[in-house]
Amino acid sequence: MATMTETPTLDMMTDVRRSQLAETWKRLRKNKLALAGLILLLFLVLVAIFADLIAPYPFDKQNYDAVLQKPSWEHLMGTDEYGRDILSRVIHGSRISLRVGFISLTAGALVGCILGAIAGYFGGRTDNLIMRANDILNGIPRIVLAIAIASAFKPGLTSALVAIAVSSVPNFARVVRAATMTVRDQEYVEASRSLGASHARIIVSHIFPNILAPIIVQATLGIGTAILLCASLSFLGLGVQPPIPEWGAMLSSARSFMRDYPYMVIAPGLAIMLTVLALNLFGDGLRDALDPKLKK
Amino acid sequence: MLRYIAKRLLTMIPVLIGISFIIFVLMYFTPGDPAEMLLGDLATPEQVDALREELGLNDGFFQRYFNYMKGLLKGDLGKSYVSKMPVWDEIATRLPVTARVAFLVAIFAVLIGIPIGILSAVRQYSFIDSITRVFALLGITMPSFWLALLLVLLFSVQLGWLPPSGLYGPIYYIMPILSISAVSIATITRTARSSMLEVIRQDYVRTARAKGQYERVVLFRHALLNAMIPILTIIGIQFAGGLGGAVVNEQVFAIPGLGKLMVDAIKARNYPLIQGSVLVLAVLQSVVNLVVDILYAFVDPRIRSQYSRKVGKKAPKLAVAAAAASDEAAATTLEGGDI
Repeated sequence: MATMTETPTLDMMTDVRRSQLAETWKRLRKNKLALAGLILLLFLVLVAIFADLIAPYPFDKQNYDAVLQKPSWEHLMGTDEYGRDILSRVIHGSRISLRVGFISLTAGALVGCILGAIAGYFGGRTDNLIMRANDILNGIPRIVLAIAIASAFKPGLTSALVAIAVSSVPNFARVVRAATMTVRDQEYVEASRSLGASHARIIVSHIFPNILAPIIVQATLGIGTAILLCASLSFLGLGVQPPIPEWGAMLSSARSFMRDYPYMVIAPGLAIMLTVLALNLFGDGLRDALDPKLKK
Repeated sequence: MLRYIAKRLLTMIPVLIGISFIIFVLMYFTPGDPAEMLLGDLATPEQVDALREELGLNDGFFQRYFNYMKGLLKGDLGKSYVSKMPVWDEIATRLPVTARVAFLVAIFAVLIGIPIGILSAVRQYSFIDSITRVFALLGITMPSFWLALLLVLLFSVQLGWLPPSGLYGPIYYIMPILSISAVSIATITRTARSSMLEVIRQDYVRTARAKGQYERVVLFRHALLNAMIPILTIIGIQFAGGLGGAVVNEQVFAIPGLGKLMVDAIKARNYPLIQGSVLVLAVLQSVVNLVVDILYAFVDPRIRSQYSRKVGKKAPKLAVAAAAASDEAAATTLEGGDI
């Protein structure tokens, strides 16, 4: 139960950044949905880390005596056409999806942040050049761009990673550029400039900390989108390839057995949905917690 | 206004050239030899080489790019490696299918999403509002192709009401539209809700109520009109999302559209066809973006006045900030539902 009146501690008054974090956490804690999202997310991360211990069977163990079995106590989600335990595969799939989501998004965010900050900070011709390049990437529907990039490599985990990372750059560049533009004329930036700080220093230590909020929100929601995108690519056969237990790839191969064994398409889809749901709940909560103006 | 449209049309040209260049580069570096794939395993190296020569695959990067651009300027997208038909002819038979589906999805999503979003905002924290928010969240988090599979399971396998695949009549459109539009409906609902909620708290809405204006007029004239900009942005983005969704879900429902054409072309390493279909999809999206930009000006007099005057070098600072803010809002809301 959160105390309503917070007595300012010494360390809150001396360290502003820390107190901001504490404030955000305080607001986030009141948001039950966001908290549920965070807990679900932590649970999924733990599942991914300890997949080997949790999964009842090895994900690639084929058992030709137990092919296409309906869900039972032995196989909670049934088995696939090779007699592999679907639950174990879904559990191991969380590793792939979370990894693809985090890695591709971090890479895309890094590039997008740098480009967006440069465009927003310098403005003028630089801005124009970067944003026109951005327009080009934005002009292609995202899944189509990802498909086009993925098709330029051999289908697999790496190509999916690259495709998702590149296609997430334009969004970040736009968000960061807009945020940079709102703070670049603030007094503290001018003060730092008048003291002779370099452009790089101003961007990194004065602008960046002040636009962190939208970046974090964008990143949280972006991981969800990245996971969905990865599943779509794999479903089309252009991303992660079987026998790797990626959720989209599992759905793709389950499709041919769907008519007679409908349970096969339930679990992987549910897993995708839960993961994206967790990220969305948490991301939405973060947005509200980081921007107190929005909610009353 | 005309000046604005003309200006926007002109800015489309470098973007399209850039897109065509990127696609060309991607295809150039794609591994695998189309000639070998076309001829199969039994072909002799001489045959493969002859075909490579014939397809122009032995030329250098710049020569090939030059030929490709020369063709594009004449409206020639090249010939499909597999069917030997002009790429444009193949696309022309598929494009209307995908465009029709995406268009119907957009209309359906707007007709459902906006009213529900408004209702949810007006009755904030009511039962309807809670239900709406739960469904909107599910719509955003569910992969559209999975929803498509579930619909097939329910309506085709279990109930036998709807045909599982193909596109031979109106009832064939039901499941594709439902599955693709779920994301769009959810996103539009959420945007309409939050945008309305923000506007409803404004002073001018309170003033309108205080002077005794009918609630209906307050909601539609004072509130909705002002809440329209973010909603419009999202509709534009969602149309593009519908195109993307169509690309994936055409596989599930075996719909002979542009997306299926493209994915099949990728698997066959049919470069001209891939290039052509990506380019056409990009042009479609650019046109939609343009239309949305023009609609802004119709809805928002501030933007209109900005363009009716001669747009000098000194754009009003406020307008720039507003544009940047709406850009940011668009980019943030874009996440979570653009596939």
